[in-house]
Amino acid sequence: MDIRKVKKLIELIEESDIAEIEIHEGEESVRINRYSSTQPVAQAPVAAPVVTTTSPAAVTDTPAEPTGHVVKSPMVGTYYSSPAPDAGPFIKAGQSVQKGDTLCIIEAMKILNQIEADKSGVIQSILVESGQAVEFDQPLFIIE
Amino acid sequence: MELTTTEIKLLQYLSDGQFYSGKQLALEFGVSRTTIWNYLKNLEKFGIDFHAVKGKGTRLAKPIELLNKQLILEGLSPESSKFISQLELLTSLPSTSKYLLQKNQSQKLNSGMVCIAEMQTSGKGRLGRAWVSPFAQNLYISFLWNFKTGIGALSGLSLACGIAVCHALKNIGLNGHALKWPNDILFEDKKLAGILVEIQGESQDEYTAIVGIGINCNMTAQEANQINQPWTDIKKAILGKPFSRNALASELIGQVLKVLSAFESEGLKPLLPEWNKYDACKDKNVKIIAGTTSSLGVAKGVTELGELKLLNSVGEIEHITSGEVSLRLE
Repeated sequence: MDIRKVKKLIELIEESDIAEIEIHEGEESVRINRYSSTQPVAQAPVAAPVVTTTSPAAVTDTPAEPTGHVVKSPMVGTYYSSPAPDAGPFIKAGQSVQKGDTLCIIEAMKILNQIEADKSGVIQSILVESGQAVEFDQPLFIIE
Repeated sequence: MELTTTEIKLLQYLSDGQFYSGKQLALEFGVSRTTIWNYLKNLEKFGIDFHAVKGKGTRLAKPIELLNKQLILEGLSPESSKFISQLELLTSLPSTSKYLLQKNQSQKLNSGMVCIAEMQTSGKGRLGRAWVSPFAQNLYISFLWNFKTGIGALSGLSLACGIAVCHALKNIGLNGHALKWPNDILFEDKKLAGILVEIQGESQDEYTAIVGIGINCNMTAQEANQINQPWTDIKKAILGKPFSRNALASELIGQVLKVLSAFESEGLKPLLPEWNKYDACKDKNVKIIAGTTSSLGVAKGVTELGELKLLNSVGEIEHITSGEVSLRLE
């Protein structure tokens, strides 16, 4: 499993109240536990997540699986995650999107370009932050 | 919120600013005086002020010119008439651009579709900022054009539209207006008009652009309280010379559609000399704020792609594609 994917999962767990998550993908699986099993939960409320990856030996030797579908920026500009600064974002990580849904706005020279999903799926990760400058072809999202 | 046809007719009847008695109006419109009174009350909700004087009747606090589809179409040059596919004039909309965007999503619209509203209830500027849009005081207009080209080729479109607006203003008799990159229209450093271009992709090389333009024409001080930046309007800028909103609408449609129709094949390049004429920041010290970063330098005009050329402190020219320009006072 891609290390970036694992890192993202850890971040997701840190942001949430979930204590443990286990994900199976083909022959691979990963279990992330917020609390070490030897420590009582109450004593370590902010303990860093512990990662246990189990994977059959045959799989570890093959190259990492390609990550999901990458949505790239069609242009140079400023990335905006929401239609207005005080409005909610178009999408959040983990959310399902349909082909054609607006994912973000990229603005250049007061032209607002609505970037749409070119594939249906689940937003696996958002790789940029609102207000950030983006380059042509820079990856913005990964859709699984 | 909408005005009825009769209410609009009543407003047109009163638009000369003369006094009319309730009895007179009731007779003219074949309704009771109470009904006339109700019409006037509803018009007041749209920000129209009346003066009622005992023994004389009612008149508009100030004469107004309502937009008239027939007049606007008649005011188009034969060349502009070629480019317009449809004109919709509505009393009130949330936003003319939003209206076209939504309409285009349900049914693909032809290039040259134009929508005007007498008022907007949620007129928008860049990044969700509000565009103050009171009834019958200004011009709120959106244009739709389909492009068969990659998105890169649309770079500079927003600047080209700014030049079109400047030409239209010049043709109704205004002088001294200028452009601040990318496309704010200023008069004496105060905002006179704004443009927002929204692009939706149909596929890899088919895009629909919706150009929304707001021009302050004759704004009451009361409405202007909501504006949070230095502003002006045509009435102030043109120094009391008479001008017509209908004539401005015709000019604007002509100039903007001309630019849109030529842009796909020609881009911004042929318009660069015009840009240079209207450039408010040329050779001035500017600060550019883009998201969380800012850069300082001297503005040196624009590139063929519409990027701002910024001479930085180490003597290099940077090409700026995004951000907000402000002039730095020495």
